[in-house]
Parts: sequence; C-alpha cells; structure tokens
Amino acid sequence: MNIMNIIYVGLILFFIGGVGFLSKKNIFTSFICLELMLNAINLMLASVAFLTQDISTASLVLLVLALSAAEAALALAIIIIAYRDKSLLNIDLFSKLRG
Amino acid sequence: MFDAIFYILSILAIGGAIGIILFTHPLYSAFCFLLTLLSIAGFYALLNLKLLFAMQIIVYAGAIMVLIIFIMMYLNIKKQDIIKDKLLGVSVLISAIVLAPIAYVSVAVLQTYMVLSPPVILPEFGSVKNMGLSVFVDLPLQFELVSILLLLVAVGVILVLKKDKK
Repeated sequence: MNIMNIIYVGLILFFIGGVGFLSKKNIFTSFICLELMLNAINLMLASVAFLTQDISTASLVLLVLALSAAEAALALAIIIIAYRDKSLLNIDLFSKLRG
Repeated sequence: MFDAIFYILSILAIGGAIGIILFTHPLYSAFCFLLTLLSIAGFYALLNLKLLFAMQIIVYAGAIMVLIIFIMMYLNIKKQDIIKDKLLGVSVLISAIVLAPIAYVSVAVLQTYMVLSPPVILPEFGSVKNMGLSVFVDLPLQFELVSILLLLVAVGVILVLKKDKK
C-alpha cells in the first residue's frame, strides 16, 4: 500500500468539499461540505504523520477534531437563530447578519 | 490484503462525498457524510493510528453528526425550504484553480521525501500511550488553547441563543 494513494484520496475529498461548499445554496449542505474539507485535511495530516513516523503530527489531528466540534456547535447555533428569524435555509440570507 | 481494504475504503469515501453533492435534501447528504466519516476512520486504522480511529467514530460520527442530524430534524426541513443549486461548473473551476497548486506542491514534496527517506514503520507508532504523551509533552500550548476555545464556544453559544429573550 502506497501512502501517496491516501494523500490523493484526501485531495479528491477536499476538491469535492470545495465544489459543494461553493455550489450549494442550502446552509446545512454547505456546512457538511465544510466539515468534509476539514476531514480531508485531517486525513492528509494523518498520512503525513505515518510517512514521517512523527507522533506529534498525529496528535495535532486530535486537536483539530476538538476544534471542529467547537465549530459545529457555534455554526449550528447561528443556523438556529437565522432560521428563527426568517425561517429560511438559504445561505444568501446570512449576508443580512451584519450589524 | 491492505490494497483491497484501501480500494474499498476509498470507493466508499469518494462515493459518499459525491452523494453529499448529488442529494438535494440535507438529511440524505448527512447520511452520505456519515459513510465518508466511517471510511476515513477506516483509513486511520489502516495507518495504525488506533486512538484517532476510535476518536473519529466516537467524536465525529457519534457526537458531531448526531448533533447535526438532531438540528435538521428539530428545524423540520420541508420541500419549500430546499433551494435549487446553481453554478456547479463555476464552482468546479474555482475549486480546481485553488486546489491545483496546493496539490502539485504537496505531492511533489512528499514524493521527494519518500525517495530521500522511505518510511520505517515503528511497531509502537500510534499507540494510545505514545499519543497521550505527545499531546501533553510536545503540544501543551496547543492543547490549552483548544481547551480555552471550547470554553469560549460553550459560553458564546449560550449568549448567541439567548439574545432575543430580553
């Protein structure tokens, strides 16, 4: 098994996540695509850790996992208040959140 | 053996990721994302990272995805909430332009690294003891920053959700 293949899979996942994030109008799907991009980066980081046999790179993945949990909590709270105000899930409505 | 597992996992991961884009209802996208998350956990197992394999399933597939699916069901998404997506071609182009240099440089660097020093697999790599030691010995500042971030987010979510109940 070549480690580079896992890097390629991570790059493909990142690409699909970027396409979904830019093209989707639904806030939930956009958010899921953002999480997919984060996961692809995590996968690439883990395979670099395996390649260099450096365990501290792998523990960085653990910290990114905690970070993405925090990000999910905050993003879902913002989605809930936006839905409460306008009862829409369109991502364009988030331009009205300014001041 | 490892090759077969790798191909099955990559087909599942990429198929799930394509399913996220192709389904219009976000709940189906969430279930496709769950498939991708579980296959990424399989990749961690393939890379001998036992703690990450467990954490990916417990924290990501267990906690975060349950939270997302719970919020989707709480908001009760109806047919009229689903909006037509546009500009798929343009977003493919933009993502390709952004990703191409990053992909080129990272693949070139890693291939050179593999030629210069091929990986020597240590038997105890990725064990829970080693990873716990490295979190607290190599990355103590980052660990503390993440804990402060989690505390701030817990306070911030409560503040954001309480705003209109004056």
